[in-house]
Amino acid sequence: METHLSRTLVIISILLSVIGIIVIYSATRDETGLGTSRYMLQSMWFVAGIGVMYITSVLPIRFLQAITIPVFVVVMILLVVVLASETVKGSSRWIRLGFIGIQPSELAKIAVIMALAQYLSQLRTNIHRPSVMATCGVIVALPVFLILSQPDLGTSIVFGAIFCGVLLWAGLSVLQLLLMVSPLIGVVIGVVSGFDWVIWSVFILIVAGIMYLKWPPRFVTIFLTVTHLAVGLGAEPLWDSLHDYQQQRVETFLNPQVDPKGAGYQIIQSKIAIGSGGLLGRGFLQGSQTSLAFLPEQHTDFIFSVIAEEFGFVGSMAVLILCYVFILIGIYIAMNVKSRYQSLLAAGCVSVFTFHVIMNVGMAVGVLPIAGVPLPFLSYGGSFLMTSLILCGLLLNVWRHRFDY
Amino acid sequence: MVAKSCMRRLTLLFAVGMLLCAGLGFRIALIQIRDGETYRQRARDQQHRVINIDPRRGRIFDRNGNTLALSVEFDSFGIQDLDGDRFSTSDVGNLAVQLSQITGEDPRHIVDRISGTSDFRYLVRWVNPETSERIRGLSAYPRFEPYIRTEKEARRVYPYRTAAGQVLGFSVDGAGQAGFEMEHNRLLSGIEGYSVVRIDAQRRAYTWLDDFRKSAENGADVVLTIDISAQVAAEQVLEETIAWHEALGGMVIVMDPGNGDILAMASSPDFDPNTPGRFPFEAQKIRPVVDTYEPGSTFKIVAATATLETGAFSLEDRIDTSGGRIDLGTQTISDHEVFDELSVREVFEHSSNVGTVKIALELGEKTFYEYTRSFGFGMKTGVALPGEVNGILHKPARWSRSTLPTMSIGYGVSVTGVQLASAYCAVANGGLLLQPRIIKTIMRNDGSVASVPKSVVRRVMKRQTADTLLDVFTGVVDRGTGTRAAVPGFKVAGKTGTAWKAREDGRGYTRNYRSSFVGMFPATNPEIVVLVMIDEPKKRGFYGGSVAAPVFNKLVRRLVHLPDGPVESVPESDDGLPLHLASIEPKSASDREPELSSRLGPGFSGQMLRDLQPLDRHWEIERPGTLTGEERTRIELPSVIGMSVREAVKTLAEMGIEATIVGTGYVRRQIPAPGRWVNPGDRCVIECGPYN
Repeated sequence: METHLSRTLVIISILLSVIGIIVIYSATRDETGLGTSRYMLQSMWFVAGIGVMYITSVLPIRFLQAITIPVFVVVMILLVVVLASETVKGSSRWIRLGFIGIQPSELAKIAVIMALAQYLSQLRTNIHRPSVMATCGVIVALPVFLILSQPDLGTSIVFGAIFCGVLLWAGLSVLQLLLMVSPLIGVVIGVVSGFDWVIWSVFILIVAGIMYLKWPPRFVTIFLTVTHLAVGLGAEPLWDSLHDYQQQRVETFLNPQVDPKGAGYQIIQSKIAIGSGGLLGRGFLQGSQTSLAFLPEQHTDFIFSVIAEEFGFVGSMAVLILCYVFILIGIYIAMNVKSRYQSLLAAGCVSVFTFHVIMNVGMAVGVLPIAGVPLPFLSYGGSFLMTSLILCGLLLNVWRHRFDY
Repeated sequence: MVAKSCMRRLTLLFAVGMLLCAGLGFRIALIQIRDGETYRQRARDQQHRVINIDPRRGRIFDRNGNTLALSVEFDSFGIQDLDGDRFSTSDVGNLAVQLSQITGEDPRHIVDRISGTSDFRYLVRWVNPETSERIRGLSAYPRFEPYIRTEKEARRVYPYRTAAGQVLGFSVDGAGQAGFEMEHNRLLSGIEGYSVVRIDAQRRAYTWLDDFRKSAENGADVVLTIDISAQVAAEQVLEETIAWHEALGGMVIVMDPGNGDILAMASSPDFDPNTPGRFPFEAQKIRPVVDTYEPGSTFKIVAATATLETGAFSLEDRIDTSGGRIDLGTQTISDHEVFDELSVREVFEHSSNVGTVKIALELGEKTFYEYTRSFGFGMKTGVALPGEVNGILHKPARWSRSTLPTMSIGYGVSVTGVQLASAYCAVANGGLLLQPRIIKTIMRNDGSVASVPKSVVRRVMKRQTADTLLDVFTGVVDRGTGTRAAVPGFKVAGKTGTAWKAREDGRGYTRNYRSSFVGMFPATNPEIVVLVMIDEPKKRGFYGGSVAAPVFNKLVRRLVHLPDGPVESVPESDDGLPLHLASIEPKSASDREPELSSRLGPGFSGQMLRDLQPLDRHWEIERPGTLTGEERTRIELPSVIGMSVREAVKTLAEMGIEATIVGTGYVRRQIPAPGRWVNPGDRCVIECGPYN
């Protein structure tokens, strides 16, 4: 059982990646004008990624811990550097290295998980102390700020998932977590409600109620009071100072129905693709929604829809179940390793996978807003595939070294 | 490492996660399994479009192969899905100004159209290839190019403009709206085809699905009996006369008495089918078939025929017309001049009303009515033009004492020009009433060529009677009221008519006239019959002999290429044959071919016209206007729009039409459109969508 676990992880990740490459072939075979076709590029990344995954899985824990700070620093530098790179579709996300481009925001996920695990596993840290929470906040906020500047909203919210997942795992209660992110929720509520004072006041009352129940430390109380006041007073003028298109982008993100030709259209097309797959699917390369390019971003964000169209309910459930099994194994690992560092590391990895799978599939079936969150192993994108494989490598590493701490 | 206290919380979290996952799975099941068919249908709907293939509308030729109507493809430019925010006012303004310099349109109108809100707006419609090249070359054009859709649109063109305008009528977007175009729309329009294409998200036609394709059946080409040069001459002479006499309007009909061919049919005011909107609706009227009028003395043909046929009088019998009046009790009929005693021949030559009334009274109501009917008055002639009316001819049972006398001189009866012209044709051709013919030949899409045969309605009189009458009518021109119709060098026969116009309310008569003349040329062996009617001449005369007879004269001179002045001797034609209507005679096909080809463009084969050449007078007699076997089985497609798919399929199946269904729900569109003519076994595409 114990060794089967890691073997299963490896098999699932390879299986999903190969399915991804096949489906990417189907989704992009009609594209012309590319030097190397996308599925070939993805295959190259996959082969390289398998190597990196293996290396990651065998690195000694001490080595991992030792490189945490340098990796974090390097990734932050890369995130700054990428801001100066050329913009593609209005944002600068890639650093070009010859013919390949890497997305430092993907590597940042690994760096943040390692950093949080490292920091929270130190003996002196008490998760309930405000200074600890603040430090965790800074570790996450730094990359989020840089990634938001690209701008790349979808990737930056993944860090929210990492933050919540790791802190919950580290012992923070749900209510405490809610309190911590409440100023952010306040901003969202403000934008969505059009800065309605009544709604915001109700929200503040709820926050105050939770604070009364949990009675957080004085610093936290002061911090929360100040931030909420700042949000309450500053959000609207700040919002007004944004450009129209920036406002629109945020609004569309929060409520896709605002823009029926954009996000709404994508959801409809995705649902049509998934639905027309039926039970057994239309067959490989037979997806008409795919081949006629009705599906937007079909090889990246909406790859699940392509799978569902071509391989039907059977295929989409198979893929989904593979993802679930992968996540369950991850949770099992996180629960069954003795070292706090390893457990937190595994929890971070699982958070990323869980968030990506639920967000991506939820978006494809039209229950969650479109956020541009890709599906692990499957979606086209070298950096993300590499990240997924490294995260898998970290899980394997944790499991492999579960007895040596 | 997990502390017991944390365990419960983590289990809860885990449960929430599992619930989420299960929820996603459930959602996928709903979409793929429960709603799968719906979504599959939606995919099909948005991936397929039915594209109409318009048939080419048949051309209309005159008897010599001149094209009277044809469809020409023009370019139209439209703007689709223009994202208005991406263009500044000056961009739009530039385009509008540059376009307006080409089209001459007000640039503001163009701006309005560009900045319109509908998905698709026309920018310019119907421009010729040169202009469309210039539009493409505009400096402001490339900026808008991604949003511009060009299409070829067929538009009907009538090269001879007003000539035969009313007869031809006009057609808009493939549907005849007036005249011949309307009456024979079925023949000309052909059958729409369609094709189903798969399209991608950018709405570019992607794949043609040949399984769902039916090519269009082009409309038939039609050769009319009209001779466009005669038509032009008739219209010009008519216009000149109307202007000279300041008349309201008028009509001229030129017919070939040998076979009933209508060589020219002119109505005034005129009408240009190229721009129907610029003319009053009245101008579209084909007056010779639509308008009825009291014919006056030209109607004496009935009394004359009946007299000679029954032998009631011989031509030399004397009739007392002294006093120039005859009292009928309720009214008095008088002559335009007082004669004493006239022979029957003189009664008609000088158009004596009194004499005619006396003859008619002798004949009796029954005989007179029978001859009137026999000539075809009070009934449609069946000429293949729209809007033909019966005219008014009451049955003797409804006649009063004064009906017979007044009717004998052309009052109390209403006729159409084409009825009267046909009646005179019977005199001219030896006694046969022919159905007037407007279609000479039909050339169908499948290459078959059908000629419309000459159609004899009945023999109205003996040949001998006809010859005698012709002689009497020759006397009218030689000595009687129609002298101004005389064409020196030829014998001309004819009859004048001058009638008061009835008041609009039907009570009595106005002081306005209708002047008419019906002539036969040449009288020795008539080749043409010409009817002239001038409505309300106001200046410079009003008698048929002084207003209408000269029209005949001028027209005949032009048709036989005679100078306007007096002619001393009979011109001989080169080949020694009796002088023919040179201008009417068709040139040989080979002469015309290059000219035609250049006019009709590539793809036109001269063969078609050569095949037509044996167009002469002797067709086997058959009911005209009957449909060919194929046409008889054709069915008019019912409208199934708004029906459910099941209902629609059933309705169509009952008529033998196979339905091809695109989409689900309720029928939104059907191709071919309702009212189109199709053959049993044809397919009809029905495009369906949700009920709305």
